[in-house]
Amino acid sequence: MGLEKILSQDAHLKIIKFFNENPRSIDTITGISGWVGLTKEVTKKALKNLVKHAILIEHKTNTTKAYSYTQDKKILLKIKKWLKTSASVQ
Amino acid sequence: MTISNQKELFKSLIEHHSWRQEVESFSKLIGPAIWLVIPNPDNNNFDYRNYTLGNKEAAKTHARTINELIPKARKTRRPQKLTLANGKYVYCVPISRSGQMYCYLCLLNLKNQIAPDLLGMLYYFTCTTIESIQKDIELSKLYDTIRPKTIALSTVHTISRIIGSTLEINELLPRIARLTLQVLRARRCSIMLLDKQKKFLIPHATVDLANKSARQSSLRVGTGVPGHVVKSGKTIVRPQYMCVPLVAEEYIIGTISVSYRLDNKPFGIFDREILTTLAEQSVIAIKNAQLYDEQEKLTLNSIQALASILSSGAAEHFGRTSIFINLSMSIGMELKLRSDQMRILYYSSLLHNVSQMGMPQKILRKTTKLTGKDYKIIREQHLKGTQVIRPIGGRLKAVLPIIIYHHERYDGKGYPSGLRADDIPLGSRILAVADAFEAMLSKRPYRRKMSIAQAVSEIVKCSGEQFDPVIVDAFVRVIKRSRNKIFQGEKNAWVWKRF
Repeated sequence: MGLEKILSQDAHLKIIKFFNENPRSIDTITGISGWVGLTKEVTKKALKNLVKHAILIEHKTNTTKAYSYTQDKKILLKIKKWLKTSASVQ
Repeated sequence: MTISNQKELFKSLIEHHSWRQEVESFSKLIGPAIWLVIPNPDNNNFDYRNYTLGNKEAAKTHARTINELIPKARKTRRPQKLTLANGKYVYCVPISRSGQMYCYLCLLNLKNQIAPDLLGMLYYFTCTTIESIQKDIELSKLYDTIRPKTIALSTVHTISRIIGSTLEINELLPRIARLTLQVLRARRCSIMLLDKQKKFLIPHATVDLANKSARQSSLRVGTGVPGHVVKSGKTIVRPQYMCVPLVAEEYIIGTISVSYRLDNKPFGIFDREILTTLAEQSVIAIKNAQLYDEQEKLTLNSIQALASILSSGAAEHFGRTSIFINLSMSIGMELKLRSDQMRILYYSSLLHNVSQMGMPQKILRKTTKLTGKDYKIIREQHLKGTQVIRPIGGRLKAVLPIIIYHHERYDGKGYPSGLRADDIPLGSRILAVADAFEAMLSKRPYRRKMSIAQAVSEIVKCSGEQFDPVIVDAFVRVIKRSRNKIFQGEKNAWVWKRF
């Protein structure tokens, strides 16, 4: 799945926008679902996909699963460009 | 109210849906007019033309009239009326609540006068709309201020949960380093802890996004930036580098440093605050892990001492051997047991012959084959012996069932409880194979010792009956692959390290 396809999905886009605005954030599924206004189930699925595509990093322990934004410059740049373009189109 | 707030308020009022409806409804009642909302003229920089409903140029031409009416309205706090030369009317209604003047509502070019009741209603509606807008603006500002702080707080809380979920120092420190990089959006993080003599800073975790094999050298206190931070106890912030001391109560235990922000911007006050907060959180976790480590060593030493006492009291062929421990642990690793499971297996393998405590010497040293009566005594004594470690509790709680049930058989014909298959604890099933294998390789007064091949073959033969087939398969793989390692001498017996 390419970046455009990932970003075309509402849940993915909402989460990416959240991390783009708050790149220092590290949060759990419950926390993120609250910030982006999605159900936990939808958030969980979207987070899993975003980790799969290296857009998010998963921090997993025996008791906690948390997520943070990628530190890959190439991915960050691609996302930034995409968000900028989509904002100007809107 | 500040000018920017006022601008926002008036902009919102003019665009406000219900106020526009209100204007429309009143216009039907009072006839066509130029509607003008003018802020409190104390703010001289305010250009009211931008906040006019209707013809802005017409409003401009009435500026003198407005300027005449507003001071009167402000003074009396009551609506003011003026009749123009062309016979048309101008009204200026001061909109204020609880002593605070919001604005002036001016109606220009009216053909007819407005009834006082209607003016009162106009005042009331406008006031209510402004108050509602003001509340919305305040809420929005509050949200904008609180949201990033709440997100940051949530991050701190999540980090606390992540680093608090391990007590293994070797796992904890890289975890802290990775999280620090993430939160500070930096490229490199290093955690150094002081040695016991507090003379050197030893690097314990270095994470570098650009160089995965990055290492850091030890530093003498007082040398290098971290060394200076330890000596002075003060944070050092440079454009591309920050180093914060890790302070536990009044003692410095090490440093945490980050370098190179991903966006190449210099580190600032906010970054320093974050790193300090992370350092404070980390210190608690590090101290906990260090205490746990010390306790762990103490437990291990106690178990080793206990195992030595138990071995010294048993007949030679019942003592623990390096082969038994090496084999048990190798099977555990082959089965990819977790670190905590491996630790329990290690303790169990050290103490597995605790049941020999109090075993009659005539049985231990018997040169003829054991009788049914002997076996009965052994079974009874097995349970009694394991009671020795029961009061120790704590970590040995998990060890106890493994030792108690390691004479059970996979087919349920073992002792003490006749457990079968998966009802037998995994550790017991591993010890059973290792125990039998080791026994077969040992000489007994009533039989000769077997060769390795014969013993392996015997174990395989008993797979599914006496032994768990999964364990036997792992055992066979281990023997094939690591035979030399397992049969190393006592000097090379398995030494407990972190898994």
